[in-house]
Order: sequence, then C-alpha cells, then structure tokens
Amino acid sequence: MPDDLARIYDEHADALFAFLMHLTRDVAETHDALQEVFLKLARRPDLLAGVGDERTFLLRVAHNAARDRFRRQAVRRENEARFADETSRVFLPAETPDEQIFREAVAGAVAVLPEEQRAVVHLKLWEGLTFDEIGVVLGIGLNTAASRYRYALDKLRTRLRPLHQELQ
Amino acid sequence: MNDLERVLARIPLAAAPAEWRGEILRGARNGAPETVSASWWQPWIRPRRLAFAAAWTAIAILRLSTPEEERSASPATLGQLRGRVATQLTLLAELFDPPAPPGPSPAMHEARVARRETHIA
Repeated sequence: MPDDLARIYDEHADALFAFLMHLTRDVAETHDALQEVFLKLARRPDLLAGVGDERTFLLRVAHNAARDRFRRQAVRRENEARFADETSRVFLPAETPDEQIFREAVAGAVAVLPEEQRAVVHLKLWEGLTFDEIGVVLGIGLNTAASRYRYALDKLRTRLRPLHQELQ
Repeated sequence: MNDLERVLARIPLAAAPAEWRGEILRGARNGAPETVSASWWQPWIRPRRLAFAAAWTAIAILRLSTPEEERSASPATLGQLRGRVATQLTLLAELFDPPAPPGPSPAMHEARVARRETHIA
C-alpha cells in the first residue's frame, strides 16, 4: 500500500486539491481534508479494491471529507467571511493581466455559488464528468445534478458576461 | 457545451502545493491522529455499545408491553397536582414535626385522682 499511496497521490492529488479548494475556498481546510482522504486510504488499504473509476471514487471520498469538516467545525460560516482571499488560488496564475482579471472574476463568481452548485460546476467543467458520474460522487440523482448545474451556469453567465465581453 | 462553458473549462486549475506531497503521505503512513477529534461522547459510548443496545431493547420491550390506556392516560391537571403536592407537604410536616400526643381527658384525670386518693386513704 505505501507505494500505491504515492501513486494515488501523484495521479489524483491535484484534481482533489482543486475540487476541495472549490468546496472549502480555504487552503488550510483543503490541506486537512486531503490529509483525511489519504489517511483513510492508508488505514483501509482495501478501500480501492474493486473500485471501477479511482478518480470518481476519490472525489466522492474528498467530498465526504469536506462535508464532514463543514458539519463538525462549522467552518462554512467562517469561510463566508474570508473566502475571497483564497479562491483565486484554485486556478493557475495567468500570463496576461486581462486573463488574470478574468480568472479571478471566475473564481469569485464560483465562490459565491451555493456549495452544492459549486461542487457540480467543478465536476462538470473541470473534471469533465457526466451528470450520472456527478450524481455518484455527490450522492444525488442525475436530474438534481443537471438542474443544479443549469442554475449555477445561469448565475455564472450573469456575473461574468459583462467582463467576458469586455475582454474579448 | 456552450461558449461560456468552453471558456471556463479551459481555465487551468492550480496543482496542490509541492510540499504537501511529503507531508500528506508521511501523515497517512504514520496513521497520524485525525486532525478533527471525534465527538466527546463517542469514546464513552463505543466501548458500551452492547450495553446501550440492550438498554434500548429493554426500553422498547417495556414500552410495547405497557397497555395502551396506561400510556395514553391524560396527565393530571394543575389543580390535581397542587392537591398532591399539598398532601405530600402535610405528610412531610407531620413526619418532621409531629403534633403533641393528646393528654388524658379531664374526666379520666378526675377518675385517676379519685382512685389515688382512695388508695392513699
């Protein structure tokens, strides 16, 4: 398992990091949630046995870890006040100032979405999952995932359209 | 996928900080204590899970075996409760401060005095 743990980290940690950053909007919380995911894998080496798609399964574990942390520590409320500082770290820094402004605007627009919509948007846009797979990760139905995505995208469009058009 | 979705999906995501790899893998391998402790009651309940299960089962059995009319009896009214409390208080007062034992009646006293005088005479 130790070697396997390193392989799993190398293959999936970046994706889990980005997903958790979108969920928690906090680097320290992301770190702790990611640590919990790997602790769970180390303690239960059979956890991935028989799993079809490791990435989907790990995203689900990460989502559960983040949600448990929300419940246990009520960090969500704390984050509401300070998420703006760290949300932009979810994207790579851009090479041009205009693109950087746009990326920060996107990060900010995603950050103000409700948590359940942030999760769906991330999994759809940046993980490229189908609504069926998103449903599996988040433990919701396909239709729920699709409608959450539609609502979220409408909000993003409203927020980002002026800036997007200006930068074109 | 529409235009906005394509634009958003093209934004590259940041990678996890490089220094995290060592920390997280080391923490996982060492089975480091979880960063968030369990609820205070969990360590207390866990070793007694069977006892709690037995207690709950007993409660459920008792409840099911209690006749419905006893369970659904209407609670005492405030007046009834006050009456019961007053009775209890009276009983308590008698217990801790009993009334003086009744003395002999005047007629008995007179008869006793008369008997004593007769005996002395």
